[in-house]
Formats: sequence, structure tokens, C-alpha cells
Amino acid sequence: MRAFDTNRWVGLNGVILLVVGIGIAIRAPALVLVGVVGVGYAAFAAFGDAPEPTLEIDRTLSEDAPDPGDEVDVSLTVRNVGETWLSDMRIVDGVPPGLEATGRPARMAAALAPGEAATVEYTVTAVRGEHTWKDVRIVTRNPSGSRERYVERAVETMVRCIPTFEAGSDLPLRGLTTQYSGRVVTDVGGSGVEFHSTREYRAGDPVKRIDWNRRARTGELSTLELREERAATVVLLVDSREEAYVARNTAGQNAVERSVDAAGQLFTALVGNGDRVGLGAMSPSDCWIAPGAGTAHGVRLREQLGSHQAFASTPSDGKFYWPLWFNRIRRRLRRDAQVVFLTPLSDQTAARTARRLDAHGHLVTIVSPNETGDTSIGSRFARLERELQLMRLRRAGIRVVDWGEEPLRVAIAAAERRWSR
Amino acid sequence: MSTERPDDELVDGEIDRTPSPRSAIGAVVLAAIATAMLALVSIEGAALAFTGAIVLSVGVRFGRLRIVHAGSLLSVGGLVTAGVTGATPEPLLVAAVCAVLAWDLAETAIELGDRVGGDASTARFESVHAAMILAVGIASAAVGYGLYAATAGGQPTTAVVLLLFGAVIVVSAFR
Repeated sequence: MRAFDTNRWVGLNGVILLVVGIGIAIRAPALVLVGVVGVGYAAFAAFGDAPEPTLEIDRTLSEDAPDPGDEVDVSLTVRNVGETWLSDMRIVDGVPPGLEATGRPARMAAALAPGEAATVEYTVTAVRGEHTWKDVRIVTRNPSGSRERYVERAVETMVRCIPTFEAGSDLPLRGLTTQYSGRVVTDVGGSGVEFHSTREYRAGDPVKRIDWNRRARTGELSTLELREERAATVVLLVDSREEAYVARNTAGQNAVERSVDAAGQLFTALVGNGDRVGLGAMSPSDCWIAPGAGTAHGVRLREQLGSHQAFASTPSDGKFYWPLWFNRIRRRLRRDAQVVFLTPLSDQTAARTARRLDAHGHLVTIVSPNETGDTSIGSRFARLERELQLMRLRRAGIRVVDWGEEPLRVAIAAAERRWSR
Repeated sequence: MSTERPDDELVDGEIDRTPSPRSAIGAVVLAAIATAMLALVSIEGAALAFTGAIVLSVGVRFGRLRIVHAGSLLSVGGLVTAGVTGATPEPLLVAAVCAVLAWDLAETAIELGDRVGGDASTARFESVHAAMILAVGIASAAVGYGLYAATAGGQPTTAVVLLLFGAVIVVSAFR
């Protein structure tokens, strides 16, 4: 980039002329001499252009695959490999947006003679996802600071932080199942554990399931029907549009981070139960893993949740077109798939998506991290609006887990009581 | 040479934007020295320069460039006042260099705070920068004083003045 004036010494010439003028008018040689000092600085300010730096930049991390919450020490070394003196340099490292330098800033000012190097060290706290460092931004100035030049230098560095999701939030699924046996209790009579109904005995029914009490009472043969337990196909759908990146305060996790955490907990439990689990994102960047089962599939899900751009802790770029996205997801969802939709319900689109999917026969359960507060009128209004949406969704027959600050399993248990009533 | 200054691309992100403490303290100390130098020769000038030093300190404390400029102009006012009241050139020259250095350090402190943060590692850069500005001040003061001493033996000061104006014009043509 070209150099430009900083206007740092602007006005100096005027001051010189004023001082010297007064000095001449009243014949005070001392003032004229003060003017000479000013002229010296004016000449200095006019001297030289901001140098084009020739640099060798090196960035090292203490760890490139940390766990979430780990502190990663970053050290950025800038070496002047050119011939020119770089007497005035500001260096700002391109810390990925998801990570934030804690403690000392990722910035420095340096004066480097040819061959000299300067190092800035800072610490970032690892956040789930894949983070790439952006360009190092550098401003050089001439010695007086009157001219300035802005340059960017790319240094490839990436850190991958994939969490181990804790299992154990067992979300009760809805009665839309596959033909495979599993854990979801259905309304279909057959073999199982829980009583469903009795029916007339038909030849070939297993002797074990004949209702012998009834036979003793009435003399008729009848067969016990038990609720069949089957496996379900579940698609975990995470709302990660820009609108979903809401948070109660700046310190804590945002709604998308909580949703992804919840998805991690849920899929671990679901895969463990033998259900077929798929993963999708409602986001500008396309993300889809078709439902599947098994350990390898579990690993794939975990990788995707940990590192895909759609699940990053900052919004993905690009524009989100709901109709296109909805058509795509509709084509991808198999008929027997039920949907667990993780969304903060920050706007109408999320609720509309849930209702549409439900209407298409994919039974929908919403897990909604509540990120509304009551600190201001605006946030109270947002909270009311969200509660109204929850009410409407529940009235439409959609199950909703309203997840406040408590652990997910507590929220699920509370919601379960409501569902069984 | 472009003269348009683009938007500052370094001023983003969350950093501590307080002015860099080293340069800030240096600026206040130098403004005080300038005041003391003027106090040797002119009470009125010293009073103005003292006000300037206070204003500059306030400006650099709160990171306000305009206040720093105002304080520096007051210091210049103090210099002029001292000159008008017939001060000897030596203390005036020292005061002038100190005043310019105070302004430069204050401006640097604020600019560093804005762009790299008050708690970033800037110590080496700040000392190099201050040394450079000081060297320029001493050099030009020496040249000026040499001229003065040479011409003091009867040569008209007009020669010096014309020389100076020539220098100003040359410098202006440079920019």
C-alpha cells in the first residue's frame, strides 16, 4: 500500500512563522533562535518516506490442538531482513475472531535495525472450533512520524480445538421410528416390556405372551401385546444463523455455542442408545451429515460439531436464504426422521421452520437455550416475545425444552414432566 | 504521494486504550523542565508555560489529542512571552526543545494507546523515538546557537532571519 501523510507536524510551520515574526518585530534574537529549533523539526518532518518493510514473520503456538478452555501461548516474532532501518513500526497480530487475547494485547510497537527481531507474546483461551489466524497488520512510519505506510503480511497458523462432549442428556424421543429395534417405546403392539393391549389369541402366538390370568378367569385364550421398542432416526439441527448468535452477556457462551454443546451431549446419548443420528445446521455455510449409526459415525459427528464453520463461536459469512435452505433440508430428511431443533428462538424464522418441519411429518422437539435477560426494557421485550413463541409452538404440538442456565439434563427432566401430563 | 489518510485499520478490537505510561510521564516531566527553564528568565512566560504543562498533562492523562495540542500551544505562548520580555537565548532554546519533545511524547503516548494499547510492549520503540526527537532538537538548537554566536559580533540579525525564512521555504517545498 502507498504511504500517506499523518498530518502529525501540521501547523508547525505556522508556529515557526509566528514566533520568528514576533522575534523580528520586537528585535528579540532569542525568539528567532527558537524559530531555528522549529525549522530543524520541520526539516526532520519532511525528511524521508515511510519505509516499505521487508520482514520475516514467524508465529508459534504452545499447542495446536488444545481442549476448550485451555490457554494457548502465542509468540509472534518479526525480523527485519531488509536493508532499511524500521525506526517506527506498529504490529497487530490477526487473532482469529473466535479467540480473544487475554492479558496482554497481541500488539506491539517496535524499532528494528536491519537484522533485528522483536517478539510479542500473548495468550488466547481456546474455544471449540477451527481457528485460522488472519494477516498480521503492520504500520511503518518515517522517523518523524509524518508519513505512514500500512501493510499486511500473511502467516498461516491454525488451531483446532475439538471438545469431548459429555454424554448423559437423554432426550426422550418422539414416536416416529424406524423398523430397527431400539429404545424408543412406540404405540405399536408386539414384543417388548411395557404393556400395550390384549387381543384374541391367534395360532402361532408365543406361549409366553398368552394372558394366563385371563385364561384362568374366563377360559378364553388371549395374547398380551407389549409396546414395541424401536430405534429412531434423529436429525440434530442447529440454528447458527447470525440471528442465533445471541447471549445474555458478553462474558458467557452465546446461544449457538450452547446449542452445539447440547447437540454434542444429545448425540452421544443417542448414538449410545442405538438410534440413527444425523446432523445439520441452519446456517449460511452448508453442513449436513446423513443419519447413521456406529462408532465411526459418532466420531464423524464429533469432528463436525467441533470444527465445522457452521458451528463456530462467531457467525459464518454469507447470506442465509431460508427458502433455499428449507427445500434442501426437506429433501435430505428421510420420511421417518424426527428432528431435534436447537435454536434460541431469537426470531420468527426459527419457529416457522419448526412448524413447517412438523407439518411435513418430521416430529420436532425444540431444545431452546434461553439467552434473554431482564436487564433492560429491550431484553425484557425479547424475553416476552420468546415466551409467546414458546407458547404458540407448544400449542401447535411441538415439544419444547426451555433451557435456562441449569444443566441440560435438568431442563429436559423439567420438560419431560410437562410432556407426560 | 497521496495525502489522503485512509481509515485507521489498526484501531479495532478490544484493547486497553489508555495512553502508554512511559511516554506520558516523559511528556509531563519535559513540560515541567520547559517551565522551569522559562522560570529562570521570565515569570510571565513561566506562568503561561506552567498552564500549558498542566493542560498537556490533563490531555495525555485522558488521551485527548486536542487538549495536548492546546497545552503545547500555551507552552509556545510561554516561550514567546519570555522572548518578548527579553529573555537570554540559552534557557529559551532548552525550553523550546523540551516543549517540542513534551508534545511529541504526549502525542506518541496517545497514538500508541489507541493503536497497540497502553499495556503492550513498546518500551524500546519509545526510547528510540524519544532519542531521535531529542537528537534533532539538540542538533538544530546547536546550529541556531552557533549562528547566533557567530553573528553576535555586529552582523545584523536580519541576515539570520533571511536565512531562516529561506530554510522555511525550502522545507515547505519539500512537503
